[in-house]
Amino acid sequence: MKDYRIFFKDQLPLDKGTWEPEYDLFISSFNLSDRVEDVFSKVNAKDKHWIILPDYNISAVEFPEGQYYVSPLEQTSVYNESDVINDFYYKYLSKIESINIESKICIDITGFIKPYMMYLIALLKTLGYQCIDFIFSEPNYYSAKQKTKFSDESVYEVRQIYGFEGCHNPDTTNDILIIGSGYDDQLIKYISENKNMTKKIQIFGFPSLRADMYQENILRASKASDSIGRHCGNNPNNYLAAANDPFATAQVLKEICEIENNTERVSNIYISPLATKVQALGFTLFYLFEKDNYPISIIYPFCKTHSKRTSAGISRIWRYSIDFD
Amino acid sequence: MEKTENPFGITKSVDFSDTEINDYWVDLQNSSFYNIIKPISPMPMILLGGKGSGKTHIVRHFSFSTQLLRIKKNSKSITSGITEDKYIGIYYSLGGLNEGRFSGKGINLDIWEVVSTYYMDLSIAQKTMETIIQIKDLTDIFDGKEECVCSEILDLFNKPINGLELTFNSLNNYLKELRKEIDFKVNNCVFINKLEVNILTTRGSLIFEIPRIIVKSVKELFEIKFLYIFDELENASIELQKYIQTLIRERKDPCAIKLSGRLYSIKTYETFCSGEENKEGSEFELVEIDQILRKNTDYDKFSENICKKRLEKFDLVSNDISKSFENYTIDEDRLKKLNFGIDFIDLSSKTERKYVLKLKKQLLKFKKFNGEQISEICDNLECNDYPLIEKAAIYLFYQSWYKNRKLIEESKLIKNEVNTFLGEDYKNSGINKIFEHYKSDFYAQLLFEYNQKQRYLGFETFVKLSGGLPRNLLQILKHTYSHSLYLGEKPFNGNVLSIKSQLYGVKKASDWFFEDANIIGIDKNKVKNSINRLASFFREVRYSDKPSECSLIGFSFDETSISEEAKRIIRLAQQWSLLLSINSGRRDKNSKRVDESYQLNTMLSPHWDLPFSSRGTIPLSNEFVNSIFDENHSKDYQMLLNERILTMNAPFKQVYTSQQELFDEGL
Repeated sequence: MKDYRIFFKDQLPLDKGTWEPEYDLFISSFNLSDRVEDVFSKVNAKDKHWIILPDYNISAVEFPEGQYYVSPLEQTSVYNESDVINDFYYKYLSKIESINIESKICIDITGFIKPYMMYLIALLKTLGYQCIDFIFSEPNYYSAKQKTKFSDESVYEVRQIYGFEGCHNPDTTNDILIIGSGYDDQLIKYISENKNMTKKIQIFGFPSLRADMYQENILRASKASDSIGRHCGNNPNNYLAAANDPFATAQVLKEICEIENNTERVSNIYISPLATKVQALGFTLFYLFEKDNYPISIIYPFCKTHSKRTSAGISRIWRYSIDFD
Repeated sequence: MEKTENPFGITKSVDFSDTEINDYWVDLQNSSFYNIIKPISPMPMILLGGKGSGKTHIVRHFSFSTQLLRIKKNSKSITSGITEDKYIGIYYSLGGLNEGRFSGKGINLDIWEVVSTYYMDLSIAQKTMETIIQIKDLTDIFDGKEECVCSEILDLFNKPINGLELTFNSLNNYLKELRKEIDFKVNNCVFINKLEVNILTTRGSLIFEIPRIIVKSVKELFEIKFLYIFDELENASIELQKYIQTLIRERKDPCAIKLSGRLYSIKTYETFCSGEENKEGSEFELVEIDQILRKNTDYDKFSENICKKRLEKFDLVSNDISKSFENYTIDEDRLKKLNFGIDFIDLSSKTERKYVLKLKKQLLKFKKFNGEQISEICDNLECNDYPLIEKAAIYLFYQSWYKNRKLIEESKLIKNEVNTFLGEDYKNSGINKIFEHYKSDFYAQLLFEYNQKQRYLGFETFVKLSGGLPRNLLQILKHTYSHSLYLGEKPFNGNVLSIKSQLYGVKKASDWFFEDANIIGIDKNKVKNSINRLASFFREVRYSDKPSECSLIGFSFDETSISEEAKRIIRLAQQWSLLLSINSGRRDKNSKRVDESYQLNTMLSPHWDLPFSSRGTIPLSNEFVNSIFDENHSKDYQMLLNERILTMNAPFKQVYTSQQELFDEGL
């Protein structure tokens, strides 16, 4: 099995005009947070493209400069991550003649909504793209600190993310659910209730993005203790992974699965990234590398609308390089 | 070493292992879950229950894995254990199917229907085969028959399956491979918009025919039923439910089918058989487990046994649970008994009681009496030694005020009633009659007026609060017990659960019940806001001067006249067990029409300081029901509430929004 620690991550300078190397294609999801526009301007790429997701409900007057793709789907209509991203790829990106599976691609995941980001990665990997760099910029602060709402929290559906559905067993006697627990205790509840009959294991971001976030994270997650049930607050069922390191997250997922499987053969594994996008990237990598080794899938609580401005400033910018080969 | 583990810590049976499912099993005394579930009955059953009603514990009890543990524990041979039970339980959690993936992705609905039902057939068949393999490994009943059985099962496929070893294991692996192949294709079709699956069996054939082949081939299993238990029906989509309804309609011997899910589980009764719908009583039996528990006279004993079982498992004292709860001592003396729990009022003090002061202010504001007359009235109503009697006297006075009677004369009559109550002939006093209905409300008002927490104390009260859902009781006990440990008490170990712990536990559990109602979708806040409005109304009534009903948490209305949205929200609140339907309904006083009646789940009572048992039911106008349950009308709520409450608070300004309500008030 993969050792995720071998992947490369580096910090990009905040002040430098543009960064090396030059990419063939750069993709970013537009929202109104400062960080996404700053990164967009600094990345050095032959082709730079925004995708404007319907969930943000961004009006035409707010559209960014540069080349962008606006999903024609209305926020009020019925659609999912595959509808939006398939359209984006097949009707837009694939028309760019200079782009092929050998191209050097960079994706800023900062502005993406998790299921779209994850589906896009799965699609690119399926199509044969080998090497992709990912950028994530940490904000100076979230607009309402720990009370920041990233979505309307009105969950309309809990399901597997398309492309991450895995091969499961009908035997459910030793199913486990690994939750990447974030600030939103309601989302933890929804996921736990949906996979009611599983043993719950939580991963918390530590070190967290900012010093006080870990404690707040633990406090918020404890509100979902009744849904988590027997395994809540039980130390062996809580794990830590650096909030800004997807490879550390993937490595912890790997360890959890090995430990659980060695204790008693696991019937099914559900993983759910509810914390940072970096953590979601770690969950994505783990699934894509391990889906043939485990009966695993990624489940997610879907909300209809997402806040288009949640943060201000940039404190640090990270780049994660992934080779799917 | 001190025990710090909480015997009530696990409140969900999904957290139990198979061994624990058996260890914590408690049956009803005057009936039994076996008779309710009827595992060998050919009539399919849909078992519905609110969250925490114990349905998963019940159905898992009938699964083969727990069955096997019981057989082993009773030192029986596996074969004789199965033949005595007369069934083999195949438990299938629909939540594990993740069937959301069988839709969309640019694939035609008809294709999804065929693929998903085939996938279900394979999954259930695999589960069945795994159970058969378990039995084969533990017994010799398949000796010499395995090859023949496998061969017959393979005949169910509509193309020859060559090269497969004729063993249960290889057959099971083959089913697994077929299923995994579908998984792979379904996962990838989203990227390529194409899905091609070879369907190798007829719908349902694997599910009904494998058991038939087994019982036909193995004489020891000749009379055995294969009991298919599909749990978590709420997680099944309409399409999947159509498939399951089809299985119900096409059920064949030796199979029995039981579905289990939450009250809101059922999305359709439609089948794939030309779209025909299954009907209760004809194709299936519908059982609501919380209704059974709520109506069961044995529920108190059942609840007690659940707790005893847990205490025993933790080596704690479980002889007399009631005595392990601190409460105010009950004296046999009729009058002294009235003062227990009123430790917050100094009976010897000459300071005027808060409720008397309030009455004086109201009379002054009324401007019909001078100071001397007001003092005379209050002196007549005084009963310094017994605040509850005083409250009852003032209530009678408010009634007279409401009826616009001569109040000074009335206060003199009430004084006589008080004196009668204090004497031998107390049963004939008006105070006694009022106490029969309102005593607990008067006590609640006293607590409220003196800024005391409402007191929900004692095991019997906890059972009443649980509203027929055992998990609610366990939640209260869990929080009470953990707070008790925190306070350094040693409950069920020679010491009692203190009043402080009980108050904490009840409040915490009640808050959890309301907050944890995780309704998926945009209706969550609508339902919660509605319940908040309804409970706030009940609260206003309970703490008013002259509550129109005693112990009020129930209401009735004419369902034909309220808005569709209000109906929908009431239905959702009921499905989420926030409201309970009172089957009897209430007959409208004037039209004699039988109205729909509901009550707030008693578990919510502590959240709003309401009574823990329901006695009164208040009829509500259509406008008021709409303002509570329909957000389009919620702007009218405060006005309608005020109008309604005005008639219950001095000086009783009577505003009637409709003639209907005027009659309802008995005028």
